[in-house]
Amino acid sequence: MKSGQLSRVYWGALIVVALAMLVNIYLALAWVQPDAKQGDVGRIFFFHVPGAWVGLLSFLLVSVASIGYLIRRTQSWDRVAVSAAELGVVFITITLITGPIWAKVAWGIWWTWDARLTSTLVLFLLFCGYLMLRRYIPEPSTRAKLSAVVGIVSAVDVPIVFFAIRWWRTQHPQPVIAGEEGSGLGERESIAFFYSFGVFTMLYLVLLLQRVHLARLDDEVEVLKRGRTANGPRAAHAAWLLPFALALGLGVGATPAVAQEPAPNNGSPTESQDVAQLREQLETELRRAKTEADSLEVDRAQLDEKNSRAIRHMMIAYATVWGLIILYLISVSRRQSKLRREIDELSGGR
Amino acid sequence: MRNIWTILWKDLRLEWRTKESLSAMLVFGLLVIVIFNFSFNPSPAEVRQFGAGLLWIAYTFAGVLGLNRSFAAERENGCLQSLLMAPIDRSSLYLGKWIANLVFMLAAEAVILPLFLLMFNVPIGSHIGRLVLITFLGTLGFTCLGTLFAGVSMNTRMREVLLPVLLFPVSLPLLLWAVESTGAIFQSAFLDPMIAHGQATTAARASDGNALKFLVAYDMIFGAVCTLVFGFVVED
Amino acid sequence: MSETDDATSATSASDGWAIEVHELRRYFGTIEVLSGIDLKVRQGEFVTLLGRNGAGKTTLLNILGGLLKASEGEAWVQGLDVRRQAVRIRPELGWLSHQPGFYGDLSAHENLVFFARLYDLPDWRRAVEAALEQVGLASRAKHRVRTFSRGMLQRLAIARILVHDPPILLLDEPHTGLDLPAIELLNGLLERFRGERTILMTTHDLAIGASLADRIIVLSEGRIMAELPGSQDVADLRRQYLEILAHEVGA
Repeated sequence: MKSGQLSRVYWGALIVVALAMLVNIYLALAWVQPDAKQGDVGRIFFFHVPGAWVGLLSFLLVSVASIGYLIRRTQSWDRVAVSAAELGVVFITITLITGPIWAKVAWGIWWTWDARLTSTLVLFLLFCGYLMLRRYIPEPSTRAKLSAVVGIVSAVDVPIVFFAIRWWRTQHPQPVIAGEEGSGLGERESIAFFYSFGVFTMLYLVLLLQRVHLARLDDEVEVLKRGRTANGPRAAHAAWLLPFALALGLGVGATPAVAQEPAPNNGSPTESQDVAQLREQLETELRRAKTEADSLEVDRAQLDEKNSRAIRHMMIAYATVWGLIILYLISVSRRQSKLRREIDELSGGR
Repeated sequence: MRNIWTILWKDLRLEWRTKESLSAMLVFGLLVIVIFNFSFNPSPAEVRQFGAGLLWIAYTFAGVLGLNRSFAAERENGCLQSLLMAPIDRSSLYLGKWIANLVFMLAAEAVILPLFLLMFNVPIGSHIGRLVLITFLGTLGFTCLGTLFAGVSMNTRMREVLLPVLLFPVSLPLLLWAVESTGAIFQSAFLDPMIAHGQATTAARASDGNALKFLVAYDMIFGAVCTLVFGFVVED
Repeated sequence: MSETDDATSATSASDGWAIEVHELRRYFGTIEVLSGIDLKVRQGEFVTLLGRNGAGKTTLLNILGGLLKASEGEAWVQGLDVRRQAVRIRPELGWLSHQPGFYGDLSAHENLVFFARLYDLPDWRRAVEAALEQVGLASRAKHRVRTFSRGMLQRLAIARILVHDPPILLLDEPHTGLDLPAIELLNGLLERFRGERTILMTTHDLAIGASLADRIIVLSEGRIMAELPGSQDVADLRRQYLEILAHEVGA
């Protein structure tokens, strides 16, 4: 196979994901009723929370790929690690931008040092440090090895960080926000919600594939520059990820169908732990928001005013999400075509 | 065991000859305290509240300076290669370096801490023992990760910038717990005389929760992890 | 001395090769630096590695010293596997490169003591004194290494080898940057070691390669391109070597 080309399967997957995304936008913006308590601004969650989930997924992938690299010492593991880290930064940025936009409407403040916000910020900083480290090491195998070491240390550290921040927040109880038991998601809401989890996961994996491919091109250029043929350990083509991607995406997306029937709020035992955890997170988040809205005794005019402001905020959030993802796609494909040109020049010159 | 001691001895000797990192750490640590004083001109109540954070900022910023220097001698004219060619375990190399960094940082803190207590009039009294213990445990964990990351950033351009960028987010839990328990100690130090005079109740005292236990656990976890992975840093 | 000899004969009795390398490969990232090296070196043989920069000479030495791991293939030193028994191999190795590897702010004596203690020698005090005497640095033993000239540093590096007295020497361009007296001293020493110890040396100096080596191996692009007999005429060697290199560029 010519490694310079992305396979047709990939383009197919990209189109599928793009269509699925359109459906997701429709579900989130039109199909779901505006939230009873917080109105339209609640729709941000259909992008905000999946973004956070994908950020965590990135972190897991970086950890696994780091361990994989130190054991197998093949470049393909390193490519997965760097790709996951970069995507992690993109999606956590989405979360970090949409979060405050929502918070400004719901809580009246842009930022609070709440446990979840702080943890996400720290995760973001960890990823940044990781990517900076990679920038400053020119030699590929040293780069792969040292960043794998940092990846493993972070893998041990991140759960501790999350725990520590949670503990620290309980030491300093928060004045503004308190949770309330008993409220849950509506039927349409939860369907749309899990659908967007599935779609985001798929989008993530497709982007990951593209980024891994970029990393391959990078290595190819390296080889051509050194004037050597690469008979390196044959890197398995990342296409094997695709079925996995689709399965995982569908799996996550299909969960509510299973979970919905018996007890929408408790989650069925077939749910993966991640999903259950996220669902729980999400529920507290919604509950919290609803209480907040509840406590504001407002008349109709005020509500309308508030709602239109909320819609403005939400539109900004959407623009940011899609702007970021599209910008990232453009940046990846620009880097790809630059590397392709370089490959052509280098192999033409020989 | 003997190798750890040999490497430690070498590092101490080198530092004793040049006193490069120690003097840098000390001066920088004191500067942080002076700048804090100028920017906030804190009252005793504010010292009680923010002093712990300040103290740890001074410790860790000074510590990063020292850690950045810890592999400087090895990088020079291929020392690391001759060292690695010697029949020593990579973990004993790490442990030697770790203990050396611990000693340097503790030495700097041994000056910074008394000056801090003195200049901000902290009535530390009998709480000094606990304060020293927390300082030790926090420094132990900080140098543990710091030594590993100093080894990682040793091979890069911009290592001076990279070390803090890598080290601070990862050591965040450690700093959190250390500041929390130091804060609790300061609280009791300031409040004890007031309680004795009936101006405050014991309820006003903050507890440090389980921070001490967490610190010990953190030190043990990363002591083990870093010792295990250090081999990957120096060998390929 | 006699101790290491005993250890040597005990560990390598299996097949008698000092160094044995089989299908050794090493990648840096996707770039292959060693592409299947096969090499056997007898006890007491002097082998010189020639080749342009980046041919993989240093990588090969580093793998034998256990500083780099082989990506594929196997290598034994004194019958010990470099992958699994690196810690046991290192006492058998002496390492000398164009970088001296001493701490500038320690004295010559302190530097040697430091390394001697890492090698766990029973009588390191005497060994250090004797080694300093042998390379003619006894009078400067208390001076900081930072004040030493390049030649003195290399003499000190030789002294470090003499302290633990290993049966195998790995020399990575040891002549680079030396002045004439230092080169003379180094060559004299290598002459003395010949036959007594196994020596694997990389160099760009054909004259030294021709005069000292039993065997000359030419590496190119991570492969062994040719094996030439040592102890031959320098002009002859130069002609053959250039021929090999020309062939490589043409291919």
